[in-house]
Amino acid sequence: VIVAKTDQLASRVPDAQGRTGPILIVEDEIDLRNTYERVLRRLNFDVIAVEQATEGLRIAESRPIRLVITDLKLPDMDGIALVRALHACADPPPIIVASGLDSGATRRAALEAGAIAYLTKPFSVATLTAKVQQILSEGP
Amino acid sequence: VVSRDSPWAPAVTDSRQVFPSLLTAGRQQRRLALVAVLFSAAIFLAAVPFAKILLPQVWAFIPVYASVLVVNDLITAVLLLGQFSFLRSASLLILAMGYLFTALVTISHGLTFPGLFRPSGLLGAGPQSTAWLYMFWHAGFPLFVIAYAALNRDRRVSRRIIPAAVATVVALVSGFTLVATAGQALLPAIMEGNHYAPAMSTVVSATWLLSLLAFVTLWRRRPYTVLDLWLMVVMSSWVLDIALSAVFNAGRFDLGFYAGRIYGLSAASFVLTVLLVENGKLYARLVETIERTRRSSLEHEAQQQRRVTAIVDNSDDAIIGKDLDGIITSWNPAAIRMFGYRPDEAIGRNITLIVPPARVAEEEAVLRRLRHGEHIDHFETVRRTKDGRFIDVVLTITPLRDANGNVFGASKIARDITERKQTQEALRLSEATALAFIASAAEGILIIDEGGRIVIANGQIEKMFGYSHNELVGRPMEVLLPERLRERHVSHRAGYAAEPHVRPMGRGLDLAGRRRDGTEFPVEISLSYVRTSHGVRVMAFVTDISERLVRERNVRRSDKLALLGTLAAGIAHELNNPLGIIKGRIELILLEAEEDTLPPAVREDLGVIHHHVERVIRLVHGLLSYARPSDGERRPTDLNKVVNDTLLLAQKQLTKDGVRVTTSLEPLLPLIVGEPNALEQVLLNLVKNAQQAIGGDGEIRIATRNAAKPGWVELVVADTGPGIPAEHQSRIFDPYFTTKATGTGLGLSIISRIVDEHGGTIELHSSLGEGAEFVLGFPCSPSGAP
Repeated sequence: VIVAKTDQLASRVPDAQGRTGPILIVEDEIDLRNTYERVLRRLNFDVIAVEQATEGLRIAESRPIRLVITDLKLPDMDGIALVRALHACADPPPIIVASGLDSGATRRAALEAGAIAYLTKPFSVATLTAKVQQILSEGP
Repeated sequence: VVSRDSPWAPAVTDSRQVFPSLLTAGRQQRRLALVAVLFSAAIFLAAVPFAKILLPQVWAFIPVYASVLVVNDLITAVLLLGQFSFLRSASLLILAMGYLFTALVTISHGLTFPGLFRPSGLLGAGPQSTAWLYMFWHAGFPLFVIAYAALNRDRRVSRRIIPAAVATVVALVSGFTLVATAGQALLPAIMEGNHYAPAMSTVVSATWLLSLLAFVTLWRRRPYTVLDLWLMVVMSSWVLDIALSAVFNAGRFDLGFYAGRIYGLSAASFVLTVLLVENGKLYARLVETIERTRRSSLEHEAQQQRRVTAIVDNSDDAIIGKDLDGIITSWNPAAIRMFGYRPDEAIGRNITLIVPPARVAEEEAVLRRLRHGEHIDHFETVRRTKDGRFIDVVLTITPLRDANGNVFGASKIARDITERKQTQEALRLSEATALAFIASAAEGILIIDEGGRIVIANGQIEKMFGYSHNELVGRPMEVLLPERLRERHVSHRAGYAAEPHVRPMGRGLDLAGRRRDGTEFPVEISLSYVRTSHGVRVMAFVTDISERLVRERNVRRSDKLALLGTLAAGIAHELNNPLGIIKGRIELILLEAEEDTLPPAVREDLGVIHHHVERVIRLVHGLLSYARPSDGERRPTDLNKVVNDTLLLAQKQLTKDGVRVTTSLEPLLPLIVGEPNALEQVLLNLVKNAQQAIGGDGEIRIATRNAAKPGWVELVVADTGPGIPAEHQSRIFDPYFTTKATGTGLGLSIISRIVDEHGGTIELHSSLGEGAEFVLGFPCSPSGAP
């Protein structure tokens, strides 16, 4: 069993930190974006998936977001800058960076900018599921 | 005036002019002689008509006349002998003997003259004796003159025959006297009392003809010397004498008799006068010559003195005279310039004036050697000037000797060679410096002569090729080349020698050197040349480029790798998304298959595909790590911080896996120059490796410390795993070598590359069952402290 089918983590149910709203995915590679989306929807989360950073940032600023999963290489904006911008929001959501870059420096940069976790692409569905559930189930 | 040339060819060319009488007669002489002949001819013509007039019998006339003749002729004979003994001409000896003959015959004639000493004469003379002696006398002399004139003037005889000649003449005269006295009966009677007998005319004619013949013989002998000329005058007088006193007169004591005798007297005087005048001239000339010689030798001496003075005064060398006690006696201008003392300050002082005190003993030795008459040549020493400077001089000291050969002093020539010595010293120094530079140069330096022989090989060459200096110098430089290149090199070298040029170090020439042990190594050569008095010298700078070639190869390889790495990283990175998508979708299918049943074969296929996607992902990941280009610049880096940052990322996972991590960090560790990211990757790889080796519970020990090697620090990662078998230890750093089922074999090779890039070292200490310890050494940053 890779991921338990859980209805209690529905998008309307607040998580351990009392957050509500959809999970925001920022990824320019459409098939990957869809993969993330399918995995998360299987977990009964609402998902908003966008291609561009600016779009993602606009959404995050306009409504509550439970969690953000973002790539670092984006067509319109540097991923670290996006992380920093998201983190600067009032009541910032937790941010998972999913990147192909695998260097300590990038990882540190992302964590310093405000990311809570760093996943090196490619990662398994189980890893993503476990990481999301871990973040959302942990209290503040 | 006497002309300069002479028919006489004397033994000595210079003696040609010794006797003016033997020079060819000049016009004036000939005229004088002619006047004499004409004058006596005139007197003769005047006297002939009165020849038979009887005059008083003056008996005293006979001895006086005879005495004068004897003395005249003897003196003439002696003077002629004097000439003969100088010139050794046979004709002169004959003539001298002729005069001796007349002198001696005159004596006999005088002694036998009847009525002079006794009524019938002395020596047992008869009435005919005196007349016959007169005939012998007047016939004999012309014969001598004929012999004189007929003989070659150049015919020479020894002086030693003079006594024999004189004895012969004495014997001849004695013989004639004997015949005329004791043997007068055998001769025809030519006198009757004081008058001529009839036979007289025949006898006297014959005698007279002989005189004439002598005259003719002389006449025909050209050119005439002064002596010849006056002999002709003499013979002409004799012809007149005989004619008057024996032909045209009637007997004794008539006018012809007296006049003839006077002719005879004057004839005897001519040659004597010539010879006496000549003697006077000779004396005058002798005095003149002596005076001239004396004057010219004085002048020569003065000139010599002036020349010496000029040389001494103008010499650049100091020339100093001194006596045997060392007292200065002369001081030339160069000595003033060289030593600074004026002549009045130096002359009379001891030579030690210019000798440095430390060298006084040397001067004493010089004086000692001088007293023994030794010449001292080229003696290098030091002298002191008036202002106290020391100058290098070279001395030449010559003893001076008086007329008796005793040494009385010395002339000392001093040349200032201070400048020369300084130049020499400077030259020697600069030469030594140049040689020292060559000897100690970091490059190998060879100097080769035109024949390719090694003249100089410096220490670096010796070290490079493994020969000692003595093994190289003088040998052909080809010993330093591989055998296969030697022959070709000789012709290359000849080509270079014909047209030397400077050739800088350059690529594109694969040159090889050969060590003494036969091994070869790559070299680079630059050439330059110098033309010296010994011919062209070629200097070669030789560099062993083995290390550089290796370095260049490495650089080329790592350049290629870096390029490849960039390419691979790009590709690998691009692969991440597709791989993620494939992997994700397979996992999703498999997840959803739990709900919608999938045929087992499809599930199995998907499992296989997933497995191999995982494999590709690991490979791509490894490739990315290995080929990741440097992303940061080098900077002073603290290894302790690298350890802490790495553990910050890894410790949680390690602890979860049951691995205990202990650190022991040197607090005052010097910084190294490095790239923190790359070093973190190194440490992370080592830690992961250790964790995998431990495979469960265990301990990883991380330490930093100062290395035993000064200026180096070490990073140690040790584990409590099973250790690495010895056969693997040499290969674990090779790319793609792995012992793990899922390993890429790149981890340790990445570590090795990064450590290499930092100029560091890796040591592995491990044996089975003992765990493994990696010790990484890094050079400290030049800036030093942390």
